[in-house]
Amino acid sequence: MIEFKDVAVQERGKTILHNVTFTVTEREKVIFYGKSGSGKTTILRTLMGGHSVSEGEIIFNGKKLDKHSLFSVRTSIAYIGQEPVFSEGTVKEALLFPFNFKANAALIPSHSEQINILTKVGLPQQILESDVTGISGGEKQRVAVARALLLKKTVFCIDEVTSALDPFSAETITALFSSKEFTILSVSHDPRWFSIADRFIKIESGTIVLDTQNRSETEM
Amino acid sequence: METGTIDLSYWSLLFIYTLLVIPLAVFLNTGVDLIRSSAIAIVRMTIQLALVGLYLGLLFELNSFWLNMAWLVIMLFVANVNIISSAGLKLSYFFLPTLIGVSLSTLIVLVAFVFIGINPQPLYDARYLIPVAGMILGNCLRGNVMALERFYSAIRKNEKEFSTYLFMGARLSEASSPYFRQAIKAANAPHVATMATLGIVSLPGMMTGQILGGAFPIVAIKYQIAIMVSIFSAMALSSYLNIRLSMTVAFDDFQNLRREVMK
Ligand SMILES: Nc1ncnc2c1ncn2[C@@H]1O[C@H](COP(=O)(O)OP(=O)(O)OP(=O)(O)O)[C@@H](O)[C@H]1O
Ligand SMILES: [Mg+2]
Repeated sequence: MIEFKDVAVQERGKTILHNVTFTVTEREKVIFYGKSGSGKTTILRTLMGGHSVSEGEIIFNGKKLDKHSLFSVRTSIAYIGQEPVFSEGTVKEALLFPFNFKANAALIPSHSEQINILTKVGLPQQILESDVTGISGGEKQRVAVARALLLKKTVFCIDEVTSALDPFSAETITALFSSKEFTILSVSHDPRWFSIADRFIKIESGTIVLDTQNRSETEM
Repeated sequence: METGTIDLSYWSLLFIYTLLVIPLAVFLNTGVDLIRSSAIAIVRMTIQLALVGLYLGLLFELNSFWLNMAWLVIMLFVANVNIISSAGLKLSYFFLPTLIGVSLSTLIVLVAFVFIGINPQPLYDARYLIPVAGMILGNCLRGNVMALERFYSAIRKNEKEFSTYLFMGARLSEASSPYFRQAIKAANAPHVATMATLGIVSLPGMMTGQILGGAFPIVAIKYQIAIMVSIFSAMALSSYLNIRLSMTVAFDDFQNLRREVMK
């Protein structure tokens, strides 16, 4: 479903990814892990078209990622970034923001859907009226998760989304993504994510150094 | 109608230059490092205006269609180059899109104001065409620098937010719309504020010039209103067109802002 073939990415003349090759099949859950600055975020952002590929190619659902297929990638995959970003306004406005875009206009969630999703990520419904800049880091991450879930996609790119959460909330969030239907590419060092994953890919200095289905190998 | 104005003699002008000791004293006293650039600016202003004075004299005397058009084209090119470089963008990428934006909006308003509004004989009369074009362009220049600079620096500053919108399925026009709105507002708000206080706080330069030049105040005022409306329209249209058209070259195939287009 998703295939990186010998992908390299350069930014400002510096190579930040090189020779990245992997395949993710439908419903597979893959964890990317490795040191800070190794290139994990860059891999996810490159899939979303956030960097141009200087070498190699990315295939999504049989099509090469280029300016023609870009839009279908962005409307098929829900991306949750490492730092949640919202425009100014209330949590409700933040949740509904993506539905201002034509691509998502048909999916506008009802009030009860909004409350339902907040409950799932462990947030009280009163938070809807709070100012989004005022809520805590962990709450922001959960709002970002709720927003991504409202987009009703089955493929997710998730970047360290439980890193600011207490163990209980982290467990709740991870469980939401364990659904069989979901295809997941997640950056994490959290053992909870490791326990729902099928594959583990270790990144070092911009490339893959280990790609295994055997969790015990990741501990070496 | 035109009663002669008392000519400002060169000696008097020289005397007025002595006023410059005031800013000099202020900058020296406060340690503001504007002295060098002020000196350059004063010299440039003097030389440029002297040359333009000579040139306009010639232009008015010959009043040839082709010469007037050529001067108009030069004004458009210079304004365009100025807008791009003052906005911190690279000429090689933006020259064409913003030239189209600036020219189109200036020409539309110029045709309405000079050809239809004033309707001089001949239509291309340099006495009307050139100063009005200058007023419109001069004001659009500031507004467009603001529009382009704001737009691209906001996208650069909010890159994470911008790309998050794109990743969520926004079209380029949707993802950039918050920054687009801010930029258009920043470009046009000062002129709106100026119009609101015009006549009370300040007599605008053009009107003052006309009154000093001997025109009846009521004539000067009619011209002033016409020029303010023209500037406003040209500014709104050109800031809109310039951002829209410049976007065609500023983003790559994946709709990410190309770094190499900025200085
Ligand atoms: N747009 C960019 N321009 C220049 N350099 C970049 C850009 N994006 C990423 N990099 C560089 O690429 C390298 C990898 O960054 P990346 O964000 O992918 O790391 P990471 O593995 O996600 O790290 P962390 O665990 O800290 O989030 C870093 O050295 C970073 O500075
Ligand atoms: Mg990262």
